[in-house]
Amino acid sequence: MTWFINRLRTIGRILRHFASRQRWFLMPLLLVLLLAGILLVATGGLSYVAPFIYSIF
Amino acid sequence: MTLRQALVRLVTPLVWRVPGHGARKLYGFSRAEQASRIDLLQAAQRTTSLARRAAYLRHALDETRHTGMFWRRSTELRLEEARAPFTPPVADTEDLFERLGEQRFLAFVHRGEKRGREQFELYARHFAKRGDSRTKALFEAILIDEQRHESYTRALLVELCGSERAARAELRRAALWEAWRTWRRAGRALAGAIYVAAMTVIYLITGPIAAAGLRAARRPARWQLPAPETPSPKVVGEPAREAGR
Amino acid sequence: MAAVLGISGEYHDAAAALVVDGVIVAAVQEERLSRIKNDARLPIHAARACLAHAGLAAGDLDRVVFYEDPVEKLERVLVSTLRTFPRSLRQFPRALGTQLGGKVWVIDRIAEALGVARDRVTSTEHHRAHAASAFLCSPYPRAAVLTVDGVGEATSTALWHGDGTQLRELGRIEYPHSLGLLYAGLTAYLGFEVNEGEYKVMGLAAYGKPRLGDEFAKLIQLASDGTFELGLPYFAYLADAELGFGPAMEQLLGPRRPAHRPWDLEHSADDQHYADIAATLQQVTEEALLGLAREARWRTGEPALCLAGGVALNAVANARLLRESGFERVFVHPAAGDAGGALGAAILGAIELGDPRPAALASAALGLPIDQGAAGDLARELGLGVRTASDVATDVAELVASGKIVAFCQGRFEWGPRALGQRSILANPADPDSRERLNRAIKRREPFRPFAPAVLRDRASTYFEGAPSDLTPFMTTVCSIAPDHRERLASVRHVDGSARVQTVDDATAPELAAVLGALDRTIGMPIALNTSFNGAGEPIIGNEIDALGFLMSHPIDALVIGELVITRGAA
Repeated sequence: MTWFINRLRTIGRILRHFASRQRWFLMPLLLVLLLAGILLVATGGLSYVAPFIYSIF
Repeated sequence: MTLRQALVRLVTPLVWRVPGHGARKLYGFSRAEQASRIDLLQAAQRTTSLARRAAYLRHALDETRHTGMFWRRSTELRLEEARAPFTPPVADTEDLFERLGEQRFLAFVHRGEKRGREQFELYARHFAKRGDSRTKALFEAILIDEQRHESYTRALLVELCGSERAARAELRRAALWEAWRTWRRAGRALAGAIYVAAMTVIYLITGPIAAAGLRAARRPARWQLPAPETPSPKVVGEPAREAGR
Repeated sequence: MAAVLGISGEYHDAAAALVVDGVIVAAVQEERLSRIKNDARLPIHAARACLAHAGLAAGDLDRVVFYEDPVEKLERVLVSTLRTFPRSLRQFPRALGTQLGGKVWVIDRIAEALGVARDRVTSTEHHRAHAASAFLCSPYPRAAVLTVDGVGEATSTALWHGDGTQLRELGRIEYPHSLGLLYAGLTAYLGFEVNEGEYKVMGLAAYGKPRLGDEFAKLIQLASDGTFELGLPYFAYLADAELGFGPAMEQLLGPRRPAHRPWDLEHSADDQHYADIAATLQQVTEEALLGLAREARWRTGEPALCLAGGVALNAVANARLLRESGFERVFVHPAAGDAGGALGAAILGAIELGDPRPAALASAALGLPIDQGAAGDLARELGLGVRTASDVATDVAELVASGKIVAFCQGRFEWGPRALGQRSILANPADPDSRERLNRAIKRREPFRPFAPAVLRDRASTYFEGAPSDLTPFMTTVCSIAPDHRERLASVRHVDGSARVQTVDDATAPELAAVLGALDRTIGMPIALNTSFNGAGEPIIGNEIDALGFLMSHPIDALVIGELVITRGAA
């Protein structure tokens, strides 16, 4: 739960930062990207190379 | 397990004959050995037993040798194909000892070594049939080590778990964990592909507008004067302090 | 009275540094613990190790400071990628993916991984962290400070005035105009790995002649006020922290050099051409740095200069700065790359909380100590020969003098990329055979890379011109070998007669100083060949487990840990 709240606060900070730089036209893009980011975070966490596994193909 | 063995047996003759793929596979194996090495070094660091520390260290040194052997053979094949060799494999880790604890880590390693040993036996036979004595020799040399790794990890596992039954239970749990991990890796690969496709679409749609707006604001290469003095370090998330910008 | 932890990471050179009550307690690069070279992941292990070394828990920390602002960085990546629409199509998913998939959340991740309250974790500005590492660790109460690297959030170069505990920024040059990215782009062009190969390019430069000035004038233009501008059409945008070379560069300079092709500078005209490119690059970089330094001198009027940022690792350029920039004294932080940012960030946090500035950095031995007892136990378990030396310095000197190669582990491992007597491999600097053996069997480096000497500080001026200085204890400069001794010191001499020398005394590395004193009595000079204790492609050795693993897999003659002398086979 704290995980989620922390991330929301960070999103808020990101949006405020972009607002303060008058990068308004980037905001919608940013929102979409942040959603994509959540998707990545949810599926991430594994390394690309697996130890002790020799690929079959 | 048997399903995997059957699959390997089926696929092996085809996979090694695809031109260029052999070198790529051997390079993949060298990367796997490099990753194993890192995980074993970390196990040596974290275990509390002196005897196990020595065992993991020796195992890690074997993996280091294997990394080099696979990579060199891959390089030889690439040069035979008149292509540039792959760069030396870069290490990676999943912090398995920390994530699994020593018992499950040992079970996982044992399963991995056993699987590798079975696969390499098949490969050694395959290359013997094909008359490629160098690659056969490579796998045979590595096999000797894999057999040793397989048996010592089994013995250590029984010792750590306290009994043969407990060891087998641990091996089963390791198998389950591996299945879940394979599932997650597949999921990640899929998510990654979707992500790239989606991002490309977003880029193509929003790019032109954003680019037009941003290009106008490009600043030349000159000394940029800093913003009015802000206290340092900035404390993140405190609006009052950010007013200075 | 505060405990502040500084953290760098996510791009390369992850590290953690702990400052307690204004004293630098520990500084550790993650790669030394994880055994992954240039480990860029969040340095949680290094952070925990620093805390454990100080006897503190995460809850005792008053502040954790990350070395750069992730949101500013996100903005720059997004803006620069979109600005180059549509060329940046392929980079967009990857660059934004790494930002949004992890890097932009770094403050939250640090708080969660360490178990520190989220509002105690803050960030500072990348170049300010570099400036702090340079100035606030230096022996100067006031100085001009230059920070030069690839790129931080959006700045590549910055000029500061340091006074007491304060750092005032005087100006900055912004991405993509960057000396670090210029050097990195050419490093990749020459077939080396970026962030690894820059040293090699610096070594290669001495074998070439800087005759491609006209071509390089298209790559970078230097202005009279110290600023510079890259010829952007020759570069290509990659990922979020890199700038590669584009097809136009190959048209200008010729085809790129394939990686891993063996070098043959004697017979290959191609390789000679590449050496000339390296030489021109080095000269252009030096001139750009001199321009920046002169501007710094003009603006601040200070007699001392501090340097940090990745480009400050260029020891050859530092030597030229000391000679020609007009500054009387120059100091470079030993971990001038991003790792230094962790220490800089920690010091900035400490000062903000009211602590004094730390004492001048006397030694780079800020890491974790080696455990002699554990080493002996493990060595015996592994069946190695272990004996206790009656007098370590004499024993090591005798081994080295007789042509043996000795790995030398003492105390706490070094902060930064150089081995300074805590985790070193030592050999006889006058013996070509040991140098040969060292390179062929152990280090396996390109033939144009020289080895470096360590010399007693109070005798250094006899053998090396310009030594000692504020730079030599940390091996951040090169010195010309005195003509009388060039012949004898052939093993540590570069083709142009220079050496990247380390001056040693009891303050920097007492055990190595004792060995050098003993060597003076056996070979007639207090100098040893000093190379880092690590194999090809791996980070410098950390603890006894890594050290013993190395002994078992490399043909060195002995491993000395504290007072123990360990060998393969019987003692």
